[in-house]
Amino acid sequence: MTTPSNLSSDIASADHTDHHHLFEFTGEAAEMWPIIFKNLVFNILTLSLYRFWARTNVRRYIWENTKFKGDPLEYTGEGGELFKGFLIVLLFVFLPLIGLAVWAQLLIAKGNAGLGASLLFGVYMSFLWLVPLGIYKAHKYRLSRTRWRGIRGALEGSGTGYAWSSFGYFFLIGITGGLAFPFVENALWKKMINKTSFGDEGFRYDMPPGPLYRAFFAYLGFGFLGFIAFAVFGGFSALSSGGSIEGGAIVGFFIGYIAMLFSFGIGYAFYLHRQLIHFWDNTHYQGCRFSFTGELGDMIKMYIGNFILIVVTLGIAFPITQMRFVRYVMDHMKMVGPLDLSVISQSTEEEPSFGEGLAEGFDMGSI
Amino acid sequence: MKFKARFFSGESLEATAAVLDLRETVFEIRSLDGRILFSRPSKDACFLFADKSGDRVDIGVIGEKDYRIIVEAPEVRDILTSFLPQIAAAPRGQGWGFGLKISAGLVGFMLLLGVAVWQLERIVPALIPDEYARDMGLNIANEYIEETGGQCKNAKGTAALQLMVNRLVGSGGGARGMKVRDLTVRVADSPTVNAFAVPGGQIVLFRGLIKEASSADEVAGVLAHEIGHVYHKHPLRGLTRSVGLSIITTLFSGSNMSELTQQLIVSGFSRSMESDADMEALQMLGDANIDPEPLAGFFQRLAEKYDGNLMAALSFVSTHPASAERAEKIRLGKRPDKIFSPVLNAEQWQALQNICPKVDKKDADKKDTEDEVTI
Repeated sequence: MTTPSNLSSDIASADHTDHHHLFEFTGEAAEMWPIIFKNLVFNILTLSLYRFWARTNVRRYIWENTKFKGDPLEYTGEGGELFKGFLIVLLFVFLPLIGLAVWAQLLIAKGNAGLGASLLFGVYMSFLWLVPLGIYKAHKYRLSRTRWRGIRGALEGSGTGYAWSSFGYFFLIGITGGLAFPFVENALWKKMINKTSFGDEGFRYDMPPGPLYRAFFAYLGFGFLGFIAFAVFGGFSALSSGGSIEGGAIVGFFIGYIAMLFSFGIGYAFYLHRQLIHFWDNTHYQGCRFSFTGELGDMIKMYIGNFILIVVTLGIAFPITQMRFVRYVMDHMKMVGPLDLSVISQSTEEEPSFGEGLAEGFDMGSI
Repeated sequence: MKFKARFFSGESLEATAAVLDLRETVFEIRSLDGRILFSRPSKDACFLFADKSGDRVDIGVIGEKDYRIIVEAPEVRDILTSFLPQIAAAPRGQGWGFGLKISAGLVGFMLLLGVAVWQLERIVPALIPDEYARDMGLNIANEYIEETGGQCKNAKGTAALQLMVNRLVGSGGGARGMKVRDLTVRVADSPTVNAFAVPGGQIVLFRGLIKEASSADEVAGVLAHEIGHVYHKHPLRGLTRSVGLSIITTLFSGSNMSELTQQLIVSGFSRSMESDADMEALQMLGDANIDPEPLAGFFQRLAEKYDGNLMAALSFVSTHPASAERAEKIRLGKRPDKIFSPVLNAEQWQALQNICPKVDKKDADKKDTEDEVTI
């Protein structure tokens, strides 16, 4: 409480954002555990149908502890919206698909294997389109429910274009034996980011995938070395025990196999890290761009920690791992260049009225 | 009471430095030069979230989704609460009470779904055309027989089996209105003590069942039980239920639907279905003047073998009524007014027993007959 006399001088210095970091994450596991516990109780009571509200509670906590210029993000979504989205998709997408799949099975059982099999094939093909559509729609919902200082984010369009591109890219990756992977990742990031906005200002990304390829080949090299090591190690142990796969040879084989997985894992983490930097450092908002300065070592530590948490708690600690990821990103995210917040006003994009049914149906309800 | 505030109206991401004037009935936001930016009844105020540092209060305005008032004065929380005792202390969904309410609603929703599936189990089988069910059943049965070792048939054995079917169904009683031509009964060359019915009147007896049976009447009893399933359309009902339950499981677990279709063929019968089939068999045997005692004996043997066994209790008894109980019910239902005659004579029974040519697998049989028994 202040007296009117000294009020205006106080307010003159009221923009107390300067002494804060731009991005900040203040969430703590100790505060997340009670939320997890409550969610667990209700999930058990409702045979997991409570999950939509559970996820909302977790998001609300993570959003409110993600701060930019000292002010927190706000998550305005509600569990009921996620549930509604799921029911709508179940009724109009999944039940018809299940119906088609059942019909296909009956056709096969009836002896009309040709028609049945092609129908079933069609159903599975439709997943290749529906999964990216679900990813897009989930992003759209989450952005529309994310506010900062009262202004919300948005993702333009319905996502069908994104879904068709992803559909095509799936085959492109197959045809090129995986070599198109960085190209595809880059193209999808570009599609998504250029449709993303906060308030009435859009994000921009326009980078070719070229620089990603060096990291990608390094990853393949890593993996190849691991494979060679595995072949040599495994082969040697097999030979040393006279060609029989017993005792020591199995241990050798196992160690070689683990080493190979490990080198693949490290290689992939290396690539992912480079990709994260490539994507964010070239993503622009208004007059500035993002800059990601996270270290590879910290990222690997974060992922290994998350893996252990998931295994030890049988997945219950999943929200903690999400927090650890957000913290890693927020601790190392910067913005470079001039940013004039005064000219950014509310988004004019329409807000979806329910959310994420498709993503939920395919079990990709990530964050 | 006046507090310095930062005010956001959705027009800019830069705060408007303002004064929050908080009174019992009304709250106002004024610019520094005293202009009123907006004025609302106090009951339109809501807390957005509790900042854990405790030194700021974020206030929203009901009906103005974009408005945000941020006050760096923790006492505002208490003052607003004293004006509006009903103001939400925490955002909706965070408290135990809200979770409990949602959960209660969801449990009600699940019960409704359960009733829906239970009803569908009765409705859907009636909607599937007989011809369709027949084609489907034929293919499923063919596949089973092929997988389990092929079909056993020779002229004498097949004739004996047909005689048994004719006697059970042809007598006109029992499974009322059922015709011999609605049924296809075959023997599969498998050592398992088993028999099953799939849609379209397809019944398969396994070699192991005939071999283990003490008499032709016992085989007839088991066959009558399977015909009972067919009469009540249990295979289609089981199928419907299994698909329906899979859909509900998908709903609950959120797992993908790829496993769903695989469940289609593997559909068990419920305990009540088994009881219904037993009662139908009893009726059928009585009408055909066949002694139901051997069927009771069959269940008795199952009971001795399985009922006390924990593993069996988990896997088998859970869907089938306890075998001892089934035997008891059959014996109770035995009609004293009937004069029973054997379903097959010695020669015909011999022919049925020899319907499968191979008899050189005795040792393998001994091991295999320990398998599950699920009629």
